[in-house]
Amino acid sequence: MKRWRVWLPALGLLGLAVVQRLRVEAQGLSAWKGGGMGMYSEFHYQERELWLRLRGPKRDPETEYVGDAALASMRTSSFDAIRLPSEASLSVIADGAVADQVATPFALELWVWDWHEGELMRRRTEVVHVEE
Amino acid sequence: MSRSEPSWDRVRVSLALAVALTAYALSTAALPGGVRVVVVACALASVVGAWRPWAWTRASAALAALALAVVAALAWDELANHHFVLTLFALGVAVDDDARTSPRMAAALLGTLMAVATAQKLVSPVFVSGDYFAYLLSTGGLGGPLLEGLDALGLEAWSQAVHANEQRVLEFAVAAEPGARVDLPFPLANLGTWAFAFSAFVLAFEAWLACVYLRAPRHRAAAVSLLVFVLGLVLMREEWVFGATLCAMGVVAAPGAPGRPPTWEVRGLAGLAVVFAGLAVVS
Repeated sequence: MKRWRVWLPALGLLGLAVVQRLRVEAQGLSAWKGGGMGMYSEFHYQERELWLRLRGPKRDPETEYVGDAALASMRTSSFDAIRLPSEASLSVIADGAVADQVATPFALELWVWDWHEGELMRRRTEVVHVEE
Repeated sequence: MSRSEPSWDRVRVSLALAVALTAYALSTAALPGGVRVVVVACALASVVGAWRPWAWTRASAALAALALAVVAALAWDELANHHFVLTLFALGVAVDDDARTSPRMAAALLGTLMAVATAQKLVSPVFVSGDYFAYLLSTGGLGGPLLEGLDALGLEAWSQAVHANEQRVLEFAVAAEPGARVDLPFPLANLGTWAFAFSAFVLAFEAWLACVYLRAPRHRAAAVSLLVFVLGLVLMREEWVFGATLCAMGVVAAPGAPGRPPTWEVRGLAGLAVVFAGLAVVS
């Protein structure tokens, strides 16, 4: 067996991991996915959430945020987006929110769960501003 | 190799691949039905291939790798990591023109897998700090299979805390605004320190596995270490398919000795591969 054949699967895995890591850094892909062996290295992508923050002048501070369970567009589209929050997938959700008659302007925000000293919280990572 | 002389290498590669393919295909509902049928058929053909010319197993592996690669191309970001590992493992068998060199291929793949997994954890701040493991430990995400045993050991407070935290997490998940916070109390002093130590241990163990499989795959320490790792993995999480895949690759990666029975650690890996495959299918 030629040497390259022995190493072909290993090199394939290494190549997969390099590409996946670049996508994690550039596109926000969950480290759990994409074949990069990043499972258990960070919070699962199901522990990411999309929130829509209303930014209009008359917004009520009590209802500033709309969670991803509240809008039909987010319920149906957010699963792909939290796994890979690319500009394209976030745009689909933003368009859906507009179609759901959410008043513009608003911001579409990606929050990830975080744990520190016994307290579970969320941390904002990505923001897409939608003006109209 | 002739049909009349089934070698240890040919038998174990054929059977190990069959077990890993079967575990994955029968337990993964997300795979298209047609692909599941093809992969199981390839697994059965690989079993037959143990007593047939090596080309039989290679052809089975090639077809399985092709089917799995097509699925990967269509649903790249939706698949579990063991889908890619299994695809590459089958590819390695398919391109191997001599079963006696399959151990080197499997060892290289296992070592690289562990090296990559280690690197991914090293660049993740929540893993290195131990925060992620602390979260998992205090909510049953790690050690879940041991929870019932904790009661028997007199650690009811731990399992009660985990169950209470599971409820708190559910409430946290439906919070009305993202700034909400929730305490997850756990009856272990310095949980963060313990979790940090556990993270460091996992990193060190995976790095060790990478080193031993890439540098000294013929040493018995490789299979023994993998056996310990896999046992620890399934005690922490019910990762039956990944466990079966790792065990199957470990069986192939172990050095063969003509005329001598497999060592206890290789028999252990083989037995666990079958058990995990069964658990993957029924769970």
